[in-house]
Amino acid sequence: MEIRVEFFGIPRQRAGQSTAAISLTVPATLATLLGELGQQFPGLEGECIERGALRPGYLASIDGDRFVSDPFEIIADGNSVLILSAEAGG
Amino acid sequence: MIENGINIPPAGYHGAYLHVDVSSGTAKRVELPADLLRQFLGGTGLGTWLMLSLGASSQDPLSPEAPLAFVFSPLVGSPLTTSAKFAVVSRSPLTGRLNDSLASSSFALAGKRTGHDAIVVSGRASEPSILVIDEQQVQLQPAGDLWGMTIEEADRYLKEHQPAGSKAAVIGPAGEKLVHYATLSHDGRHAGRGGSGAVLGAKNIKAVVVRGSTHCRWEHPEQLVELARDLSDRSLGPATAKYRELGTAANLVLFNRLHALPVKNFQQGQLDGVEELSPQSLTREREKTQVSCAACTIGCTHIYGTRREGEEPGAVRVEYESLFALGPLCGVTDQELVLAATGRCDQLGIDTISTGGTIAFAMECVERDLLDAPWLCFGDGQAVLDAIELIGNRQGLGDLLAGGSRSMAEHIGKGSIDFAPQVKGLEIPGYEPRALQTMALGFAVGSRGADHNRSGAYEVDFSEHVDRRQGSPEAAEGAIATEDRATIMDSLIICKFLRGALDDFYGEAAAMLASVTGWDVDAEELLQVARRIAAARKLFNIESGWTPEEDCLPARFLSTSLPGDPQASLTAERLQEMIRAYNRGRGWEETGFLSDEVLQQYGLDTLAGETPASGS
Repeated sequence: MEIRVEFFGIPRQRAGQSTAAISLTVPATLATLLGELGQQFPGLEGECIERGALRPGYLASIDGDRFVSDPFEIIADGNSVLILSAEAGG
Repeated sequence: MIENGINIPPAGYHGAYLHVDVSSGTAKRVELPADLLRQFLGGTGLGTWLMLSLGASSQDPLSPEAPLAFVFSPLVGSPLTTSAKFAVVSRSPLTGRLNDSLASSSFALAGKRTGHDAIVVSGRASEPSILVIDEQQVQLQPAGDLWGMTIEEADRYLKEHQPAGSKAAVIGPAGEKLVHYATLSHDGRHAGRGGSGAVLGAKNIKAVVVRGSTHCRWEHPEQLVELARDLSDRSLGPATAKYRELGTAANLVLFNRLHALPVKNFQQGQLDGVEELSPQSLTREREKTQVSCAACTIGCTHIYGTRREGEEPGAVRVEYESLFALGPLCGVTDQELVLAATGRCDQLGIDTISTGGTIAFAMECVERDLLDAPWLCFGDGQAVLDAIELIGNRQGLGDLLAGGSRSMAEHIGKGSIDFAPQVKGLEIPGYEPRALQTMALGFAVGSRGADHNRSGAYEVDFSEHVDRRQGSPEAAEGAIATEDRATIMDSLIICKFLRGALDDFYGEAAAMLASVTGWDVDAEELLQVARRIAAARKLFNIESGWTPEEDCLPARFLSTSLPGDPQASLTAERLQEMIRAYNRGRGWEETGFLSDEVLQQYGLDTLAGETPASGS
């Protein structure tokens, strides 16, 4: 299946683009997706992502509806996953 | 501590504030006992105590009697990064409630070096003046040509005409004309919210100039330097990367994606074209420089070049709140016009959030045929600029807008208060309450009104612990926690952008305070200080006329779901449940009043006036 990933804040800076289409094998979890992102976007690995998990200060959201961090969270076909900086203050 | 009859202040403090009466030009030094300083720390905490003890809650904030306090803190002047900050505290002309606003600049360093922990100004000078304070004397000098100058012009003039080492907090034309959301500014930084600029303007004071060389000792300097070095290192790490690289403007595109971006006076949560205002777009199309506040290692200030046709090239400091308020909130996405509007607000000395909120409200009134100003339309960036000019100079329609959206709604009537974007009179910042409902609670109960700086409840919404679009009483605990942390940061004072870099906030904050003062303060004591200050703010507000009905949101947010995101809906009943949970969590009466026990617990009973703090 193909997942749409949207990057915001520092993740967008490190990925160098605002969106990406990532192919994953079903069933897929947040850890699977993050692991794939770490490989495809080396700028993310080490700063925003570390070995399939989000580093402190970063968040993921499924479809913009709910925030998740559990690596076993199931990612379903058709989901958009947002990767963002957690700090929202202005 | 008293030695040989002399009051020895704790390390980090001078143990006194200066009270200047600009009516008579006289000043007196008033001692601040060590136990009081330990209870209220400095900044907004000490400022709250000053306002209570000076009886400001019963005074018209624009009257000569009303006090305005510049409050420093034990950490000002220390090597701790971001600690060069001061609070400006008074009763607000915009809300009628307690107002504190903060700014970071070397004014804080120079002000504390005058030998005082705070400077209180009351009275009204007989002519437009500047107030000059150093260690030896207090002087009133005629403002002369300074009166009428913009913030930038006045700042530059005073740099050229005052002795080296002087720092000046100034008001712009809006402060002189008592615009209710006028700012007080120094060196491009603004104590923005709540109208402290109008309070100073009402005293006929254009600028407060400070200079001095009196330093406070630190109790454990080696430990302090070590803490400072470690904190500086962490301030350059991933926790602040967003602020350093992109600035707060990075919020804009994300909030738009989440339907959390207030658009067209909160009629929408998304707007096409906002990418135009993103830091990436701004950086691509403009020259950018980055600067830091005094004594700060983060460097979150992003300044972009402007080049409007027919005008000299300029530069504007860009923040999310200014972009949202003068852009999408008014339906505008034109980069050049939004930057021009931001820059003009800074020059005239008006709060960008209240300015944008008031103009957006006026635009909706025009749309609904409640206001006869057909030129003032959503999406028209030039109209926003024109309105700003009218507000700053209180000309024509600007005189009505100068009172803020609540005051306008009271004037217009016809149910317009239902969509006036304010709580307690303070315009709502850039967080759509229906999309971020813990923040909605934070806005409703905020002591100075709708406020994202005294409550960081949006952090709870940006977590997996709550459903951000279905707020519940369980979120109250998290909202209280963010308020308490902000209270300590604003009283010590250190920048909130450090919060992600502090793993054990209270423990680390206690260590900083202990290294400066030598007090055996710990995390639990600081938490109690935060609770005391929260109760003191509520006490002030009760004495100034607060009622539980004020802790609410405009009807718009409680009667309609967010267009484009029907799951984002909030009812009055659910909000009230959250508010009751908040009040219970604080240990207050469920209505928000304070029991005698709470007053005694925090030592506030001696400060309470004749107005009963309890609702029972």
